[in-house]
Amino acid sequence: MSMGIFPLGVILAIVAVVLVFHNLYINKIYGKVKETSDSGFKKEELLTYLELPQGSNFNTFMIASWMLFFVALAFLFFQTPGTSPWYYFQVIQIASSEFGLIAFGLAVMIITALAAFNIPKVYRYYVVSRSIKALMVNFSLPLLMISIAISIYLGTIYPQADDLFWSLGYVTLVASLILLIMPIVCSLKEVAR
Amino acid sequence: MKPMVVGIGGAGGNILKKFLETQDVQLPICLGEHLAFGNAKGIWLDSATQDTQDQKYFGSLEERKYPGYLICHGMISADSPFKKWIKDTYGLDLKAQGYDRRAEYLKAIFEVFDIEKVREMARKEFNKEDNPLPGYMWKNGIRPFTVLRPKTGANSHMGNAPASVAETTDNKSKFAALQKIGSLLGSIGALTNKDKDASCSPEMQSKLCDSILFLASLGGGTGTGFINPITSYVRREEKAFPFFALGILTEKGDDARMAKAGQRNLGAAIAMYDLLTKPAGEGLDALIVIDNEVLGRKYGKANFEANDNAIYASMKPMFDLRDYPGAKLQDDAPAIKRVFWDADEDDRVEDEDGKVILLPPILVPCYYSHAESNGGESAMVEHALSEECRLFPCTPSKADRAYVFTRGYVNAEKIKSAIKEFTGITEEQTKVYRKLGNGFGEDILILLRNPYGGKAGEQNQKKDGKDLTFESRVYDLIESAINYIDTNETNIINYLGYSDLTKKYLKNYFYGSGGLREELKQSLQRIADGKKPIFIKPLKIFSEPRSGSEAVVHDPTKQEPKPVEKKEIEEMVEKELQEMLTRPEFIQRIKKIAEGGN
Repeated sequence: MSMGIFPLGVILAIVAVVLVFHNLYINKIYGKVKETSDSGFKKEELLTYLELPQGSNFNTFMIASWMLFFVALAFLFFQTPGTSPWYYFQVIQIASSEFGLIAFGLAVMIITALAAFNIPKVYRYYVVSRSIKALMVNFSLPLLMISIAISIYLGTIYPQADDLFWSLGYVTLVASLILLIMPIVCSLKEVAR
Repeated sequence: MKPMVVGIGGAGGNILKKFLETQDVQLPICLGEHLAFGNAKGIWLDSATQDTQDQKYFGSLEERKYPGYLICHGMISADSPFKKWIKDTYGLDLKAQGYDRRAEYLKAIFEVFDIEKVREMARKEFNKEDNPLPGYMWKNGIRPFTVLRPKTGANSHMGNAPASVAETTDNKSKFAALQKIGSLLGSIGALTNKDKDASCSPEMQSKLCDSILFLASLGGGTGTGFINPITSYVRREEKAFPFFALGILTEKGDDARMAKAGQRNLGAAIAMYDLLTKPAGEGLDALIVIDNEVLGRKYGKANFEANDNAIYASMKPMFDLRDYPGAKLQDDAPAIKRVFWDADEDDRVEDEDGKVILLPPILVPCYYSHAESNGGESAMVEHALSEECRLFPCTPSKADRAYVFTRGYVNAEKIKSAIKEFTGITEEQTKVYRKLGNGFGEDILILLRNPYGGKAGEQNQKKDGKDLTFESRVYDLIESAINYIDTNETNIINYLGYSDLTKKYLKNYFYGSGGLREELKQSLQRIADGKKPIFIKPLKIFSEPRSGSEAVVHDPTKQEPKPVEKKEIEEMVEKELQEMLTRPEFIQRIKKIAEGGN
């Protein structure tokens, strides 16, 4: 059993909880609007009414952040042995290449591109304050870069391992994830009203 | 409703900043279009070049900066022959840097173009444009951001994605490199968000403003003067395009610029008079009024920042993009305009020719917001209509209609019932526009249509020096304006630089029979009698003289020479005489006369 399963499970659990929150948010608004409106409309229509432009600076940074998030996740969990059954050093030809890490990163980007480009679209259903946007843009990318740098460091010292650095990489990854889901988390207040 | 917000003058510019505050993340570069609340666009118009240089927020629109400003006389060169001719003939400086609370000066500058001879002269110099000042502001500043923007033409470049505010900084070389990176990243964003995000998608870039909202202080300066000429100019071709104005009445007493209350009140009276006497299709579609005196009491007299924030916050329910599902025409500016014009039999007015006309309504905003839902729709309406939430003194029960804009989860029928309960306005006369809002609270903006009249003597309703009714506030303002006209004839008419011709016109406009002074006095009587509307007859400075007033013979070619010209003529005659005296035939003739011959 790999030691990375629990930490990865935590990340997946966060994502699952966020999905639940998102659905709760949509359902709650749908209910409230239904309560106060005579005209019939479908839930899918509500999504159109909820849409708001968030700004191109924000959108661009969110796409970049989600792309790097997947890269950071892959580097942390699938680069060195011990964290998952499949890892980067199993593919010796690439791992021994001078540009192996770049190729690995690009491969992750290509595989997850669809998700990275589509996940930020969810933000359009939320009212994201400028302070939250600033927080997300200013901190998510640096945190992800720290996480990636730590993973690269762990890759370079392989076969040695450093649990402290791995934990640090994990914390920065989770912190960036929390930043990226902040609009949904903040909407909890509305759901709770 | 997606308005093009036009901030005019100093105050208009400051309030506009709030409306254009970016909703995006502030970065050294902007990767797409500037995103303001409600996707609104905006421009600042001013007459004082110095004012535009003393700030960093707006960049020159001529240099394709956004948010941008435009100097209203920017297209008139300093050595323009037309400018010189206007100066010599009328004593008006088309490139005046600010108007120092002289509403009549600015009014004269724009209305001088009502004279055919002036238009003819303008056409010769300004490429067939007969009214270059409003023409320039409209075609270069405002129209490119609206749905009326021409698809092709000389000004089409103005409609391109405006440059970032970062361009207003001096760091141009650094900016150029960043802009390249920005456009590259921006195009990635555009690819993925093209279905909704206005800041990215080409589809949304073409979604332009469907109405115009002027923001200006009614203090007699630049802001006061520009709304009318631009609106009149555009109305020559666009009768139906929605035009709204938000006018802020300045506080009582002398202001921070030491301008006399009487002078400012005269400016406000002229502005309101002109805005409210243009019939449907010729001027504004509604004048929303806010009293700085009310805001000053709430946030402190000199706390302009808080006042501007309050004005912006109160208008947000109108601008919010998230319409309530199921309801129709919630954000359609032409539909809202039509509703504002909805009138009763007694709203009809007869003009001088006996033609029945409708005059634009006055809308008084009442705004209330709260963080949590408490008390439901009835409490919201009650709070909004309370004295402390009215942004202009008025009596809500006197309003003939109510237009309600809400954000939050509210029931439209309950809102209508509450309006009826607290004002007596029927459900049929109340329109409710609901938005989903931001989810963290609810707010309500009630626009009360013409909340005055119907009862005599309401102008005396005051408490501790505070106006309790619309009539009271406006009556005092008009009275103060009349008093200023009566006691400041020299200041008004003999202003340095006016030509004798202009002085005559101004004298007729202010003091002539059927002139402003008389009309304002009649307005006072109408207020005292509880009649609506307050102002009826449109007045122009350069119009035909009214019966009984001093006739103005207008022939610019028969002007009495000015002192400078007299001197020039004397010199010419002297020179001519000297030449004659030196001619041989002349000398011979003199000699003959001296010898006694013929």
